[in-house]
Amino acid sequence: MVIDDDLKCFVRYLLDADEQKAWEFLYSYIIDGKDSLYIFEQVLTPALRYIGYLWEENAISVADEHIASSICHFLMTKYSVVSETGKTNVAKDKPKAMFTCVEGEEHALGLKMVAALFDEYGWDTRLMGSNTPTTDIIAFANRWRPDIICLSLSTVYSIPHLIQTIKALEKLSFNPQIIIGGRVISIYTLDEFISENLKIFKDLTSLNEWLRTNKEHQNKYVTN
Amino acid sequence: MLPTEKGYISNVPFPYLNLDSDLNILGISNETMSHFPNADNFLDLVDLDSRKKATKFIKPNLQNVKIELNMMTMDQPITLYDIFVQWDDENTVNVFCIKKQESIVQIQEIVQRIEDRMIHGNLTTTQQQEELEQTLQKMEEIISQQDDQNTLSTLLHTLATEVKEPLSNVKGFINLMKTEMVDPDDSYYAEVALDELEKANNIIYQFIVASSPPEPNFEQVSIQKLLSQWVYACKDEVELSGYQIKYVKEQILPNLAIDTKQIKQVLLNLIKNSIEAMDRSTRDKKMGQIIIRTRLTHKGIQISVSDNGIGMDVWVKKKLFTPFFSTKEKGVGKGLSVCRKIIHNHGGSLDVDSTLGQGSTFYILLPISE
Repeated sequence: MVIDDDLKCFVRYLLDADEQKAWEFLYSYIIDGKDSLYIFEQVLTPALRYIGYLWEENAISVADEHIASSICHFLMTKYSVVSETGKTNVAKDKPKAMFTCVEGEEHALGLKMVAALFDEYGWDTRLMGSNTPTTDIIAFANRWRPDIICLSLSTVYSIPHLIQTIKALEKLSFNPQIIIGGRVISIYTLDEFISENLKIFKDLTSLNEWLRTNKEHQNKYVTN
Repeated sequence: MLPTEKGYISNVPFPYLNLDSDLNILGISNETMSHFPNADNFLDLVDLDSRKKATKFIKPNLQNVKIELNMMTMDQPITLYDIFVQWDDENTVNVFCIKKQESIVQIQEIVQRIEDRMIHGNLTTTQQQEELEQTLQKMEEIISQQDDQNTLSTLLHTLATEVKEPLSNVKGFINLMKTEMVDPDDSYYAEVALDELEKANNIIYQFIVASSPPEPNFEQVSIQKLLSQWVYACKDEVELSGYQIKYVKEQILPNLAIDTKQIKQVLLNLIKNSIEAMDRSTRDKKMGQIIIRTRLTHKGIQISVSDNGIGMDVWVKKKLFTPFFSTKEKGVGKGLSVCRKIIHNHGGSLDVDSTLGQGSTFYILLPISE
């Protein structure tokens, strides 16, 4: 796996748990005027993939990976504050989207990026985090009644939970749109599960494109 | 999987596997069975995402390798193991699997818990923020209504009555003086003064009416009939301005007890506002139209007056029903506050929905009397 030297430096900062340097690196892109999509798709994602590759190469341990990923969580949070993509106010007429990992799924970083993109396009978002039991997902969805529910999964073992969750979500009376994404989706084909109310995005770019075109017809998703 | 023939090693307190060069399992330690499910090939015990790594590093040319692999286990789907690989010769290899130290797992769990708590905390804060903002909005609504309607109208009422009295006195005195004036020019000034006084009186009278329209004089009427007639009556004026007006009947409605005169006043006010909103819109004049609809809701009959005029921003919308608030150059700003008062006197409500640049819809809700 080849990545450029700059990005290798960034990976080093992540593995060394050097928050300060890692942030400075990311900040240089913000100053450069790069948008969230670029920062997520061209900086954070390849860095994380490279870290996965280093583990496969037996160069680092899972513990190292955990450190790097927690630094990434920190960077994402700081980024959302600086770039003001985070919520500034909760407007009544914003369309609503909730984000959750299915039961047994521990990887929430990708989901965080997805939620940040929705934020940026003016959605009211709720991030539920990793390993959320299906009953909790349903309970929250019923209470908050989002227009869209995004599910993320990165391991194959979560697929049974995913199917179980989708079945439960499709019974919701207010008929939310269900969106699925995550590493597994980009590797395996889950076409057989696609129904009318279900969308699958293989990467942030296609999601971003959908959000962009959707914004033009956003009224459709505004709840009354 | 069968126990290894290497007797001394079958009792080691961790999983041990003896494999051939294709990683087929030749023999295992007793402990192996309590960790991993049954399999013929070592790779079947390795997590899908770790297999590439396993095949890469379990090779005869790599002696004494230690790698981390995610393994399929009996109790959990995948668990992290340190795998030690040692080749006897090119054809057989010894694999020792040591479960990652519990402490690492514990640390991972702690990190996970903190992350989850942060996310949960974030979620809770957002919800609280939402609730607070809603409460704040309600308070603002209440305050602006109370403030504007009550305090201001009481103040005005007092002011108007108090000013009216001295004004009548002045009027009386001027009338008296008029008879005393010999020079016709002087008399003319007196007339002007009287005229002006009359105007002042009228304005004050209107303000008093504005702050408290008379009690409605209820009579049972068909709202559809009233609207049809009224729209017909207003049609000329609307079309003169170059716009369309129509009343869309959607369902048959029960009769209502209303003060026809006052409701007509409200409708006229709303229609006039709509015309002005469309005058200010940049849209092609021919497109301008006012649509009146009626709808039966569980709360009563809803009359909506929509236009595709210039619309209002949030600030204007908020101040709209405040007496003496006006966006018009010459307006006094009584119209809508009186309208709301009239509808309130009918036990109903008057609200607005508007988007700047797209138009406004006013909703009159009149309760159906029992």
